[in-house]
Amino acid sequence: MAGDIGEDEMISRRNLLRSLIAAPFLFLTGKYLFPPSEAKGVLVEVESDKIPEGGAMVFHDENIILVRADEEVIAFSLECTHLGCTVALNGEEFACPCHGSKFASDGSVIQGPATRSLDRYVTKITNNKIQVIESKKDV
Amino acid sequence: MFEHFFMHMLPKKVSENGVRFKPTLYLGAMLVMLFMFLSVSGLLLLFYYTPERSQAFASILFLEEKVFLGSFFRSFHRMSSHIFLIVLSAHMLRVIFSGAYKVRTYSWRLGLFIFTLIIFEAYAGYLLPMDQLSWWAAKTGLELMKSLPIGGILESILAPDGIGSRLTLTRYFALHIVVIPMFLIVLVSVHMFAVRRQGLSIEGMKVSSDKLKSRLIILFVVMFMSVIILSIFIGAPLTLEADPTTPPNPAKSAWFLLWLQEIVSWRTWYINFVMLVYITMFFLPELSRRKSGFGWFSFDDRPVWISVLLMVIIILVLTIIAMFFRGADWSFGLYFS
Ligand code: HEM
Ligand code: FES
Repeated sequence: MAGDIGEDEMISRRNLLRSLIAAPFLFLTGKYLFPPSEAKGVLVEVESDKIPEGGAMVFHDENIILVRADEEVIAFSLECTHLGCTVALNGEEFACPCHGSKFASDGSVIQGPATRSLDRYVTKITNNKIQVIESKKDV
Repeated sequence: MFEHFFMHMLPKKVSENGVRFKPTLYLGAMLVMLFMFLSVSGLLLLFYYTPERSQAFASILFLEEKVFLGSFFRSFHRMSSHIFLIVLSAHMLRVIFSGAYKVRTYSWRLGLFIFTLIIFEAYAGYLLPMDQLSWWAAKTGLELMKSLPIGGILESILAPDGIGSRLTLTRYFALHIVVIPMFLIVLVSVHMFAVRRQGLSIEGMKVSSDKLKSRLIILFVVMFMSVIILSIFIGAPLTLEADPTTPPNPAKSAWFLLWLQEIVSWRTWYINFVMLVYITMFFLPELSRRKSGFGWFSFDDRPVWISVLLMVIIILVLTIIAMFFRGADWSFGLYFS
C-alpha cells in the first residue's frame, strides 16, 4: 500500500502528523500565558453619609466614582466605554482625554466616539455602609 | 575572524544594480545598520534599567541624571528607533514603487511579518520608562489594539493586569528585550538570505563588491555620526512618573500610532478599514496586474502605486492633525507645544 502513495501526499500526511503532535503543546503553552484572575468581591467600602447629596467620591485605584443623586448612590466605572481610558469628572460631565467622548452625570453619552453609557457597578447598602461589588449592572 | 565574518555578509560578486544607488536607495543597508545601533544601545540601557513598576521610573531618572553618558545613550536608542521606523517605511515604499514586491513575493510577505513585529517592538518599548508620557501612550495603544477583532485575546496575553501593573510591565519588558528581537533576528536573517539567494529583482551584470563595500562603510559612518549628533541635540523626553489616575489631557499615543488614534476618535470600527488595507498588502502581488519587472512607477502598475501614494498622504495628514491640532478633550484647534 505504502508504495502507492505519491510524494506530495507523503509530505501532506507528514505535515498533518506534525500539526497533530504540535497542537496539544501549543494549546497547553497558550493556557500557561493566561494568569489566574483574582476575584476581589467587594471593590470599595465607604460610610454612606460621607457622600453628600449632589456630591461625589472618587476611588482612583479602583477607577470608581460614587455619585449621590436623589438619595440614591450610583457607582460608576471611570473606564471610558469607547476604548477604556480614564474619564475625569469635569463640572457636571465626564470627559475623556483620549478621543474626546463626553458623558452626562447620569452616565449617558453626550458626545462620541463612545456609544454606550458609563458602566455602573452593583452596590449593596448595609448598616449605613455602601459596598461596591465587583460586578457590572445591566442598564 | 570577526572582520572576515562582517566582510562576508556581502558576497565577492554582486549585481551592478546593488552597487548603484538608484535601485535600492541603500535603504535595506541602512536598516541593517540601524538595527545594530538599536541592539548595542539597547544592551547598554539594560545595565541600568529595572523592569519593576515601583523602580522603573527611578532607574531611568538615575540613568538620565547621574550616569555618565546615560542620557546620551537613552537618547541615541530612541533616536535610532525613530529613524528606523521612518527608513523602514521608506524601504517598503521603495519595494512597492520599484515593483520589487511583484517579483520577490517571498521577501515581500516575509517583510510584512517583520514590519508587524517591529511595530509591536516599538510599541512595547514605549512603556518601559513608566513616565506619564509612556504610560498613557501604552494605554491608548492597547485600547487601539482592543478595537481590533482579535484585540481582546491579545490584550489578555500582553496586559493581563492592565498597563503598568506587575505582570504587564514584565511582559512588555520580556517582549521588547528578548522575545520580539529574537524573532526579528531570525526573520531578518532569512530575509537577507533570500535577497542574496534570489538576487535583486533587477537583473544586472555581476561585478566585484569592493565598491559597494567602501560605499557602505561611508554610509555607516555618515549614519552613525548623524544619529549621534541628533541624539545630542534632541534629548529623549522624560515627564513625571506615571500616574494611572490622572491622564494628561489630551492623552496621545506614540507618534507612529497617532494616525490610528485620530481614526478611532471618529468611529471605533473605522479601524477595520485599516485592518483590511493591512491584509490586502499580503496579497498585493496577486492583486497587481503589473507585467513589467523592476521599474520605478511603471505605467502598467498605476493602480497600485497611486493608491499607496494616496495612503501615505492620508496617513501623514492624519498624523499631523493628531499631533498639532488636537488639544484638551481631543478638541480640534491649533495646539503647538
Ligand atoms: C529590519 C528590517 C529590514 C531589513 C534590515 C531589510 C534589509 C534589506 C536589504 C539589505 C535588502 C537589499 C537591498 C535593498 O533593497 O536595500 C532588502 C530587500 C528587500 N526587502 Fe527588506 N529589509 C527589512 C524589512 C523589510 C520589510 C518590512 C519589507 C516589506 C514589507 C521588505 C521587503 C524587501 C523586498 C521585497 C526586497 C527585495 C527587493 C529587490 O529584490 O529589489 N524588507 N531588504
Ligand atoms: S477611550 Fe474615551 S474617548 Fe476613546
